[in-house]
Amino acid sequence: MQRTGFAQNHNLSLSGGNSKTTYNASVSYTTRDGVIKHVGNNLFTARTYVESKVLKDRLTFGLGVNGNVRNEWGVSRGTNGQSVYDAMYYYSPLVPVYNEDGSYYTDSSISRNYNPILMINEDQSKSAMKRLQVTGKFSLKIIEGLLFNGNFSYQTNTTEYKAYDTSLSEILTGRNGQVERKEWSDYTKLMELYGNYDKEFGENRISLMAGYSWEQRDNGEGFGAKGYNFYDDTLKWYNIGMSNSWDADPVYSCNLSTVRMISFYGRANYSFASRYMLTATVRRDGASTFGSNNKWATFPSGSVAWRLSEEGFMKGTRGWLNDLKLRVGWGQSGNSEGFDIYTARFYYQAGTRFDYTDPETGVTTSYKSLNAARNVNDDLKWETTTMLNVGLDFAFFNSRLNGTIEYYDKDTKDMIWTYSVSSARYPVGSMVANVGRMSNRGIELSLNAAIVQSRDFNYNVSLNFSHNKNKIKSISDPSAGYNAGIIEEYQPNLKGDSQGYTQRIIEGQPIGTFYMYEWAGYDENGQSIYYTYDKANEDTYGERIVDENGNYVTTTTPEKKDRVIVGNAQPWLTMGWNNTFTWKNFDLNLFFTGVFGQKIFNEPKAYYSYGTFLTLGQNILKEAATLQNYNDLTSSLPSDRWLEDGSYFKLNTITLGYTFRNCFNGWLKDLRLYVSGNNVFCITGYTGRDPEICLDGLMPGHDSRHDHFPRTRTWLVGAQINF
Amino acid sequence: MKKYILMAGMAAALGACTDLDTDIKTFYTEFPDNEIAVSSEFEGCYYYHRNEAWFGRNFWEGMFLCTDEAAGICLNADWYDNGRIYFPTVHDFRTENPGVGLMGDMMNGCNYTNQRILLYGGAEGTDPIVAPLRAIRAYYHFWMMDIYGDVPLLDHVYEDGEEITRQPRADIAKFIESELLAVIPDLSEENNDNTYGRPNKWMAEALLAKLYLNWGVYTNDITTVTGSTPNEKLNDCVAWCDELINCGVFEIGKGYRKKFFPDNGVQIKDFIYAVPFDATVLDFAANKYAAAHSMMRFCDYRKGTYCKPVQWGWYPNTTRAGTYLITPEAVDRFCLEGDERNEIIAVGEQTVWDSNFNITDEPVIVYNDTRFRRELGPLDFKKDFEWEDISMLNVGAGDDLEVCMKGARCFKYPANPIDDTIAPGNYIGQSNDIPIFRLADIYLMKAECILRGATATNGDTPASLVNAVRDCASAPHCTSITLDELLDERTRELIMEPWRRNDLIRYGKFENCCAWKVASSPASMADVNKRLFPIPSGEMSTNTNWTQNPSY
Repeated sequence: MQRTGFAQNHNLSLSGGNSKTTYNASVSYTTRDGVIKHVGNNLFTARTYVESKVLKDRLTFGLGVNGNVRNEWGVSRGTNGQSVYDAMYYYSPLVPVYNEDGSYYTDSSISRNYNPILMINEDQSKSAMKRLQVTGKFSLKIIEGLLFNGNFSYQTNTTEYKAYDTSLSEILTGRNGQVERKEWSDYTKLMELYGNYDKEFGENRISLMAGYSWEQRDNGEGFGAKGYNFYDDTLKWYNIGMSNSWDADPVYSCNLSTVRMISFYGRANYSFASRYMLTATVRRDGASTFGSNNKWATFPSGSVAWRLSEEGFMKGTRGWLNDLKLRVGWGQSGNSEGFDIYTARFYYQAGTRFDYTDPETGVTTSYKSLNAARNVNDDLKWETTTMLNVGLDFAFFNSRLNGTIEYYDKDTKDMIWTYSVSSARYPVGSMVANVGRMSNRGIELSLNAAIVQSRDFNYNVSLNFSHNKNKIKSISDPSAGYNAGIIEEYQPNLKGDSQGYTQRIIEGQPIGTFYMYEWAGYDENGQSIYYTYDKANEDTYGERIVDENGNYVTTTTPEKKDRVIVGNAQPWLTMGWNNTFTWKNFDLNLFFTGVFGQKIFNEPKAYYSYGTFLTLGQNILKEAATLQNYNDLTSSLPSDRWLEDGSYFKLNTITLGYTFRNCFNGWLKDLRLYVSGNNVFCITGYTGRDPEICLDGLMPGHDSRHDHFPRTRTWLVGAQINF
Repeated sequence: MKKYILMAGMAAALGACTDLDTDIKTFYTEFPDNEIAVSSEFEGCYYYHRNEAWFGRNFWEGMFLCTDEAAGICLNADWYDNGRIYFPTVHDFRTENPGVGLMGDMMNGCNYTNQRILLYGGAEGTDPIVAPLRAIRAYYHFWMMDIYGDVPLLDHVYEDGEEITRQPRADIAKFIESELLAVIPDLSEENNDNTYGRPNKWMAEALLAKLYLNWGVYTNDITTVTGSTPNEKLNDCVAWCDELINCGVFEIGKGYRKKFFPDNGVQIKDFIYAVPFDATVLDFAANKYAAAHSMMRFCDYRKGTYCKPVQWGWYPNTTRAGTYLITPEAVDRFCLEGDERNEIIAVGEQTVWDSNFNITDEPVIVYNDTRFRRELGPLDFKKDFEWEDISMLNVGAGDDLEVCMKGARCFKYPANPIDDTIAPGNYIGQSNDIPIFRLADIYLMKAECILRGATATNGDTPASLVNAVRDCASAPHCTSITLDELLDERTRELIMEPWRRNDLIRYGKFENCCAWKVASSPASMADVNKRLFPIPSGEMSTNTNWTQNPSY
């Protein structure tokens, strides 16, 4: 199923101009074959930009046109075994891919078991995305220090998706070939107008800005259709009109989502002698997404900074301390992303069909019923984040060592979530409302050092560390009638518990808190046993049940209440370490990254350690025969047995290059040849494939088995030519 | 003048640059003023029992597997799934079992219907046009109270701050009675495509008869009910049964099995009220169990692809679970000679069913591999067998061809070849309609009332009523029948229809009803509190003022 993936990346750019007009243009082409057959993409981009000064150099205006076309090919990656990545685990190596007569080997008596080569070849899909953007900007100097600027952008994206499952497909049986095609378009219009005024008088410097921005996104308008039952698979996805059969609803709509955002903003900067700085900003933002009572909100912010190194009392340090600046800032900002026109408005959507017989003609036709889709919430408003940050910028030793240390405290309130409400009172049983509160606090440290600086050899290092502590402060507001109840996330669909979850969102704990059974080892029959707890399912904490002898009571069939907090997916420390060496014309760059303290739920191990799969005709992990207990029938539950420390330290990129200079007699300016490696090595205790997994969203920390494209090690050779 | 034009222009510009009004263009935000759309508002009320939680799937897990007729098994922990079907089978109902989670949809159905009643019938809801809505609301309340005991009385749209509390079961039963009596005169007497699957006069009368049959159960403490609990409504039950028997709209007919074939529908004159499934029209691919059910997936032999000839004449395209077995006690009841109903129980050596579902003589042979090179033997479902582990109702390894033959099955709702291909994935989408009320059931109910002490009417005796039902299946007549024999007749006639649990509780025979289950979990099988399901976990967490049913 795998292959070595080859990739190419080429780009060409040119720029130039004179004192009045400058231009640049570039084209680039990238193509990449994935390591799984039939997975890959290519991207062609073109950009142009021209800028010119007129009206005695008072008016600068620029115009740009960018476009790209991206094609992607993919394979099936659904749940319930319909994933090529999952099949790489479960498909038995004892059976052939093909029968002697050349047809695919299949066994539909085994549940959720699909021949992966068949899936790769017979279930194909492709996407093409085209983007075109036109941008314009201008900057007009009205009087000395006063500028009036504008930015405009108009962008359209069209995505076209097509998929064909042939008559041999195992995941779409009995269709004799099915085509699905859909196409949708996004339009974004943006206009920004702002004025700047800068004035210096004496040691004082003032800078003012006021602006207006208007943006509208009309996304997702389009439709799709499915047709099936072809004479044979020759036409593939090229002629949906030749399909012989259609579903009851063969065409579906991709729904237009409109969001308009308008902002008024202003900023004032004042600095005295580059020593004392003060900034104040205020924004008045409006989004069409929110309820009619709360579309607009005001977000102020301010900061002060003090450059201690310029002070008189710091004169003695001038030899070694080049810069020391203390800054404190406080501000509020709003979020409206992730919600759109459908979030809190009342509308009807199609429900099941019904037959209506016309009383006059007696003709029966099938119609769609209409169901209320959402409750209206006129009070839906912006999610607001209030942040306080304190930072210290420093530079030592002729700025050879400089860096920043910063502490921040972010408090987000009015987070939007969907709450159950009684359908006895409202048309729909759920309401979208602002209730939640979350906090993020942390420290970031970044350092840059020019460790060695000499004529031939230079060594520069940049290092950054960050530590963040996330906490959910509240998810419910009982006084307003919004009870989130128990929010559980991520169903790994394990054989022993298809309905079970791995995580729970708990007030006072971070996002990504694993809430599972506690494994207690094996009982005398070799079955996995779990600790039992003296609490109800709704309670987070409790005591382990103890019997008369003081031993913990364990069970092979734990109940939902026996779950507790067993860890969380948030890392304690994230770091990056970049090293650049240059010696004469050689350059070497090493970039390390590390993430420490996070836990990962090893889903492939949890699922494929289950001995019963062998008796069903599927495959399991090799270690299940030795490290696990093959006859263990109760191992396949979400428990801390499958939770591992995911800390890792990785050499992300290594690049070695050599630049040829001054040897081309004027034909070329310089030429750099380089070799680069990506994902070179990884030091980790995690026993799964790759500890670098998705850490964002509401369900961080899962090494999913059906939708995890294998991480690759890539070696690159390239040339950079300056004409 | 110019100044005003300038100011007006600026005001307009100011308005435009702060305008955040955007409209939804893709969906209706106002209900269209179209009479067909209005009839869809009514339509939307009728099918809250046609979905995954109900007759599409989970109802059978909770309400069918818990009876003395069926058991849900696992194969070396495959399909055990945290006891999803095991716990309901042995009466150890857990609040998170899907088979128990039937309440939410009934409440949603009542609430949706109440809002329509308010819209079309006003606050009192008495306009004749809303009579079918009041009937379906009574039907939803009936199921809720039959399954959960004390449930909320959802007869109006609740105001903000109004608490939703559970009312005593007897009060709900009286509410259902008064609603049905009020609307029966206004309901349609038609029985055609327009009324099929929807409440009409006959559905309401059958529901009322069912309510009266069980009046003793509903108006007394459930833990005290026995087979001889008195019932004051027996004569009323007989009266409504007579209405249905004598109205001339329905007839039991001739030919039992064909009533349950995939093409069944309004043309089956025995059906008074049914759940109409249609995988194509209702779009099974999009709506899953709200469009079709998957009974054969759970009943059929797991290894059909190893059989030649295959039992159905076509090889399955999707996998079969084979986890619903019929208990030996139930199999033994199918003992009348020449009874067509015996054919739906698949026990012993199996033969091929042709494309019209006629049972032929050709034996089904199982091979050791899917290329049919080595014969194993005939497909032989064994009524009694050795359990691998009875404590989990585990029959053994799922890939063992003979282990999969353990247990008798019921093929009452056979599938068409197209059902196996109607949707991608592991599902078979069957369009056989599931009957709720049948005339044959009404006959048996009347016979039971007379045996319990009601006055016989129209010269009917219990035996004559049972013989009229038996004629449809060409079963031999009886000269007399006792209450217990009538209960057995109900298995023969109504297996895999929604009423067995209801019958067993009324007879006081719900406990310890199957030897397998008593051996597996004696404590829960003997507990009379298990006659009511627990309130599902979803409803308990939304309604924090409720207390859970006893013994849960």
